[in-house]
Amino acid sequence: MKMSFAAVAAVLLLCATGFFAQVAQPSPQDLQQQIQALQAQMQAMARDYQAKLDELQKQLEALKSQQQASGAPPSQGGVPQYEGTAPPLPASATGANALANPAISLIPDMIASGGNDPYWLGQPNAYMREVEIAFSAAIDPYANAFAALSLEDGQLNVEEGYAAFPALWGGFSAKLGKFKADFGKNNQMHSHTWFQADQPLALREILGEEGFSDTGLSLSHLLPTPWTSDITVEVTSGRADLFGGSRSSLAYLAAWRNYWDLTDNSNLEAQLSLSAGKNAQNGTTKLGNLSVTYRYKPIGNRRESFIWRTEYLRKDVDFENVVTPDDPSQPSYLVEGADRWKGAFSYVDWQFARGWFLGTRGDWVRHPDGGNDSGGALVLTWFPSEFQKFRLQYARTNYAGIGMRDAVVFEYGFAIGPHGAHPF
Amino acid sequence: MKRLFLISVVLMTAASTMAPLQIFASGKLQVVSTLPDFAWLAQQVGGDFAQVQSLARGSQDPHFVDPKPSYLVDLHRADALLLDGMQLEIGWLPPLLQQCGNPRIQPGSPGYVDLSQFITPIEVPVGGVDRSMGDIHPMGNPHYHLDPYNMALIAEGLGGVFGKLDPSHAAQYAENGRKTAAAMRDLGEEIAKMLAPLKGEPVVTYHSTLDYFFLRYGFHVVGFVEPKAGIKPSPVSLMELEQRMKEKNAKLLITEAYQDLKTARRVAGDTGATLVVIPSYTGGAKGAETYPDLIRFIANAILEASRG
Ligand SMILES: [Zn+2]
Repeated sequence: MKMSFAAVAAVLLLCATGFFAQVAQPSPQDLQQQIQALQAQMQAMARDYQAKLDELQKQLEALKSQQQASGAPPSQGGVPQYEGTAPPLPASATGANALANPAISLIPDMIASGGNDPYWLGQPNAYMREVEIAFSAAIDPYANAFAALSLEDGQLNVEEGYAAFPALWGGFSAKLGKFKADFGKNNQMHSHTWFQADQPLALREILGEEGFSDTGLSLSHLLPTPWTSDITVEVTSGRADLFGGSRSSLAYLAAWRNYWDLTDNSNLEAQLSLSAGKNAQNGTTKLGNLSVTYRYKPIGNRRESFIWRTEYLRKDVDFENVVTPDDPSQPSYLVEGADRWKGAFSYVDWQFARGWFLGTRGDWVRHPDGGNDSGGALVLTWFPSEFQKFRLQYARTNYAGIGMRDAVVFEYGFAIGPHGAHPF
Repeated sequence: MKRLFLISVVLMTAASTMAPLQIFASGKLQVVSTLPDFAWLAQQVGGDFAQVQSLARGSQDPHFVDPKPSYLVDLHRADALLLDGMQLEIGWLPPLLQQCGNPRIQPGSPGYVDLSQFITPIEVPVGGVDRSMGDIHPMGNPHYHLDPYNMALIAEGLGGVFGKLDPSHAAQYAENGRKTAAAMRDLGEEIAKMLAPLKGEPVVTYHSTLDYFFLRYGFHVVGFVEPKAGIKPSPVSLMELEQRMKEKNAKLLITEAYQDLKTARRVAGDTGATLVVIPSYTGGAKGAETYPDLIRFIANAILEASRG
């Protein structure tokens, strides 16, 4: 096992070097330069687009005059043209843009909050939480590229950036790069697709603010079961704040997803994810997630739907510390132990009209010292269209040692750019 | 942990060795279509040598299909994927293709069959396209399946495509393609005769789903219930629509069954127009289980409504 991991690790690290080079704590000057470079790139793209549009316009004019000259509209099985609409563009013209530029989406997310919840008190009363810039394009016939850069508080982070190989030998699909780990459903969602204004308490406290995402390799395969089932295995760098972060240790994850169509309108999904990696305290950090989702979505209309999701999380941080007593005559000794975290959340989101959703969430986390945080939230979301969102959320949380705290959060976000696929 | 990892590797290896067995179990060309109409057509062309399935159901709005994981199983073993194209499936097909682990149906492979290549699209936007126009179809109207003459072109095209994927039955596929195309043209003429009295009839509809049908049979579309593609109507937009309907004397409001019928009903009520609710895809209603039945269903419904 060790040897094969070493080989995988070598490949991974080779590929990851590029990422680390960009991600590793950039200095303000670097950032300034990066931003300037991006701006220049954007401007170049804008000019490029304009030139292309002008060219298209010219081609169209030419086509129109040709058609008028020949007086031959398409017939023979083809469709006659509407009066006033143009003849179809040559396919190559639309295709050319896809070659020149990746699809780019810009997704800003704004937050305003009130109340005395320490989590929100740590944030400005109103702020731009994130601007996500997402790029996607086919790299070549074998792989697609996806990158989500997130601009937070003047920091440009690579939230995700990977090559996806949809069809490898033997029916495998793979991701190589930095990606959100297949650790439950909620962890993999980008912030603009959350059902509430914040991640559940359990994810925030157990996985950290950034969630479980890391650089490495992900391999998936469907199982030949009578129901829909697949297995994903991920080998990643063992990110410092979640695992050890030492160069010699990796983190491993296995996820088993199961899915059943209950009826045409409803389905059930259950996933078990386990992960482990060496930590900085000479021990192993083990993570587990059990996730169950029920969805009701009538296929005949878009005015009602219902989702219920529950996830249970665990994190065991085993450690081994060498304690050197103050009295130098006493020998050093070894302390072994474990910090055990547990947490869960459960939420529903009910669509009662086109674009309108009402939801609630329950949260619970148990700290290693036995203290419990628990709370609940009530959420109202309105999507005037698929591309804009207004959200109002009230949350009440009982923090261990602090007591009951309230928060009112308003969220507004929009998305511009190509029609991205909606998450499932 | 290591043991778990080992078990999953073993499981995955087992899966990958069993997958090919599964694929050729039936010996037939495995075809998956995104929409049921093309599934019906492909079954006519494929005959006994092909097994065809549709991902979306006939009662479903094809713009908003959920990329359910269960679709992965069908896609995983497909030899061919037939899609409408023109970005109709852009909201749900890409993640499925990414996860299905099937190289035969990836874009650029012979098994990835964008059917819009066989037809001439209408309503292709000119100049700048942006979302101020709603959730516009940027490559033109992708709802070309409701014109039987388009289906004829696609049938002929599929005859060739299946022949390339399964050369041992190429002659039969080509023959079936020609026969099916002839049947589609006959159907087109049958409907033209039926609807001849309604040539030039002003109609209002919900989305641009029926535009190819209306164009083929000479209906005059004077307005849409949605003010812009995919955008929910507002009181102002509805008022303007009702006014236009009265001006143009539009007596028929024809809508897909999955739209907001309450709004459609109100517009019809306000203007004295007759509301015609139709299935827009094969299998979308009882009596529309096959494509010819669907087209006849739509034509009959419109004809009956026009007679009051
Ligand atoms: Zn449409």
